[in-house]
Amino acid sequence: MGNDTLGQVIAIAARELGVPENEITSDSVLSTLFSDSLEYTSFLLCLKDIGECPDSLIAKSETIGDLANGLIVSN
Amino acid sequence: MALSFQIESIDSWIADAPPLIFAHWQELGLDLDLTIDPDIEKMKLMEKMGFFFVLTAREAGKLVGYLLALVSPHLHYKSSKPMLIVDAYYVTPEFRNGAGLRLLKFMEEVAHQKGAIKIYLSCKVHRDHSKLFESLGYRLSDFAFIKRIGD
Repeated sequence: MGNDTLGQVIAIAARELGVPENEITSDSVLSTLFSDSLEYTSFLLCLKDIGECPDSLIAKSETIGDLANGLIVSN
Repeated sequence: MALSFQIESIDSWIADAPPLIFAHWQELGLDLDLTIDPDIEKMKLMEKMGFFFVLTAREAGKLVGYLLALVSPHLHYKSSKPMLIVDAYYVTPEFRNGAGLRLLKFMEEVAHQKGAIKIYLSCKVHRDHSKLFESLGYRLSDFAFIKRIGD
């Protein structure tokens, strides 16, 4: 996982949640960060700015790091 | 604790599912005088024929959600590729902070694997998931009506 990708994912999550970026890490658990599926979906839609987020990745991702690691980043 | 998502046999699902099925019915049933009584044998027959699937969400082996689906060529579009019809889905309240979305995404993954070209998904009016479904790319297509005409 590139640090750039992780940083971008964290920045988007922080923006969507309205919290400082330093409150989110690679180990932050997604189900703890987001209060419901709709809020989580809104965040996932924003990730399209960085790359593709396959269904299988969303289904298995537990943490911010899992998502950042599996994101198919467009060049 | 991590969630796992998988296709399970009806036998495996029903071993753990009754408390969830009851809670599901209590929360979403519209006619609670009609006893919830899933026809497991018929489900097994459809499973054996290869067009009925149970998807589950488990945490450390504990069942926390399920989605029942049929994948088959549609009666109106026999020559088209299969379509997936979601029969029912449920996630226990304590896991409604993303597990439902992940279960739906797993369902879409399975739909692709099964060669489905379209998904039919609905929700109850009193548990409106329209915004979530639309954010996932679904579009509103039907209004369904129910009229009770007997006991």
